[in-house]
Amino acid sequence: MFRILNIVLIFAVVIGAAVVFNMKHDAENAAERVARLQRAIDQEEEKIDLLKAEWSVLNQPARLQGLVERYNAYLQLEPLDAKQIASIDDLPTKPIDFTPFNADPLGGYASGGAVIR
Amino acid sequence: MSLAASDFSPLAAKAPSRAKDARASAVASGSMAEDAGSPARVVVVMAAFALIYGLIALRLVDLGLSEETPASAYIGAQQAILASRPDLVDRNGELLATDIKAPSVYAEPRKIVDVDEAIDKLSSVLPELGSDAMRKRLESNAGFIWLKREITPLQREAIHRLGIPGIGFLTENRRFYPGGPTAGHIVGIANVDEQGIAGLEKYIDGQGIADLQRFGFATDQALKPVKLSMDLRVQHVVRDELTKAMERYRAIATIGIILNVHTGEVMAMSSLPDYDPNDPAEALKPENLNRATVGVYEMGSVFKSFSIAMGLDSGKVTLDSTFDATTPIRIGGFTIHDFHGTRRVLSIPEIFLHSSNIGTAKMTIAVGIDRQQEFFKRIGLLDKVDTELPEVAAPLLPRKWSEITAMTASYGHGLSVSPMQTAVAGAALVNGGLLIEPTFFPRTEADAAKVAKRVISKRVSDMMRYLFRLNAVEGSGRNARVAGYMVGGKTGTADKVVNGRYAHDKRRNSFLAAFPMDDPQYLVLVTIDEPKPEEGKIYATAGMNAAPTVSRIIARVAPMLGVAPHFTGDSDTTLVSY
Repeated sequence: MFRILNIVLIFAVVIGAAVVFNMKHDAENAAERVARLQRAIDQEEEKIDLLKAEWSVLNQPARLQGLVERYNAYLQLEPLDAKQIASIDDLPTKPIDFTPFNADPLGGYASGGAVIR
Repeated sequence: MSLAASDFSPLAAKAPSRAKDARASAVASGSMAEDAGSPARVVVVMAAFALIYGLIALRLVDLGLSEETPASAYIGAQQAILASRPDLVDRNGELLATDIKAPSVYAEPRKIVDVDEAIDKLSSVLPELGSDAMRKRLESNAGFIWLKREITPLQREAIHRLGIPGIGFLTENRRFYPGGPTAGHIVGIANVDEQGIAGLEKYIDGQGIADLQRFGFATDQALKPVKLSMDLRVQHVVRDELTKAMERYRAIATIGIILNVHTGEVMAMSSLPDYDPNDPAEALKPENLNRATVGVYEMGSVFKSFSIAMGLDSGKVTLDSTFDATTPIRIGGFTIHDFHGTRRVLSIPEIFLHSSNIGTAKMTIAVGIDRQQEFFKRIGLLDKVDTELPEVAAPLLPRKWSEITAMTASYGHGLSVSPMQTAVAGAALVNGGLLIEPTFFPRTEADAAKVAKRVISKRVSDMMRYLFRLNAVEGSGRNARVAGYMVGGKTGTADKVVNGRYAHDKRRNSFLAAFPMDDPQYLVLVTIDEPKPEEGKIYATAGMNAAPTVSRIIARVAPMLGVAPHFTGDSDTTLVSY
């Protein structure tokens, strides 16, 4: 009776140890992977910072102005003139369209003449 | 058998039954009763083992429950030097200052086997490390020394390949300013240890970052970017136009400031010559100082705006008052002349248009010296400007506020103030009469209203707007006009003091302008130091150089600042309703 119990317990211990070892091994692998990914993220973040700085250097108004001055024969850019700025109210009203809309099955006037729309 | 066992000792009765059996069998197998030892000793041994195994079990549980510690001590050392600063961005989020990572090379002299070999190899990559001083340091018994901070990735790779024992790398943050000199005086500098030593970099250190760094909290975690009120594009335009003006008029220095008159935000501030904050040594050159806040100058006729505002504010003078400017004033050995001599009786607008020293001085005396001093104090011309920038100079005031001092101060001589101070006081004249301390950080009109002080009435401010605009239509500010933006302003041509005397060929010219004059939004102040006449022109007065520079700046920045142009008979309109 005790002997059977002992044997069962010994098996249980061995199996338990094997399972725990396996779990621990998996956990170590996962931790390593987390650390690796974290390092990769950090590196990417550093790269992003560097690229942002580079973007900002390349986008400096002073640099852009220099480039425009050098290549303006091709770019044909001009400084904005105050006369080019207008609000929507400054626009003339839409020109009147005098063509009758006969194609429209429900449109038109009884007279069939030119309509204003 | 059980009787025999119980004969050993009364203690045996307390021992577990299995032990009894074991002992019984031992006795049975052969008369070894004495060898089995006394039962007391057995119990002690058992207790000791139980204790040891119990401790081991507890420790196992403890280890099982504890957190995993970081894998290497390297991380700790790395974190300790990775002090970081928040990025600085302009009002549109454009980067002004950021941290980038740079490797630094260090040595652990105790671990270096052959110093000569190490130095030979290192100097093949970094020649400056071949010095005798470096040899001494490496031969010492120090645990850690920096060899060189902030090397390039290529150098790092080369040194790594040399494979010298006791040489290692740590990654450090380095401050980088993508704009270079564009906003150097505003942004300032952080040193190699990431501590702000000038400009707003220094100011934000005072706001708690220095403490965070000291206690090691400001490591590499993302700090929120700090937004400034400055607009990088506007700042560039101001600097660009000042650079061109410096060439065109062969000046020794130029200063430009743009203020939002309703919030006190500094939209742009440039002082040439300036420096590239990526090369901090340049900042120490005296000619590169920030003249806009550190320099104090006699601003000249620009001050007539303040004097006339003072007169109108007192109520003793109206726009219709007249003062006799026919003859120069002689007082205490001095003679006060008019540059554009009119030799007649002038009304207040005429005094302003012709920039009459005599008229302004007489008006000031008529209103009263005490009132002038009180008014200048009220609009902040007699005190240091209160703003975030650490580099701010206090004005240079006359020792005694006598009659002659009052007269010269009325047209901007004998009293030196910083251009920033002039701009702030000027903004109060046109924005409806509120003095708002300038700020380099974003501020809403509501917040500005809380710190604003009323210094003149709305009506006086309206009259000043009329005068400024009139001067740009009929007076010395004609060259400052920009079609569509209704610019108004006042020129100032101040003789510079050379060897204690006013030199008539060396001038410091200013133009104080605001636009659009019917509802002022922004104030522009340009000062040009020692301009020479332009090619083919005879004069080098402010109207000839400072005013056109202001005009070019406004034409370029007004669309960026969102000021809508309007063309209702613009170029010659003055304001009627004052």
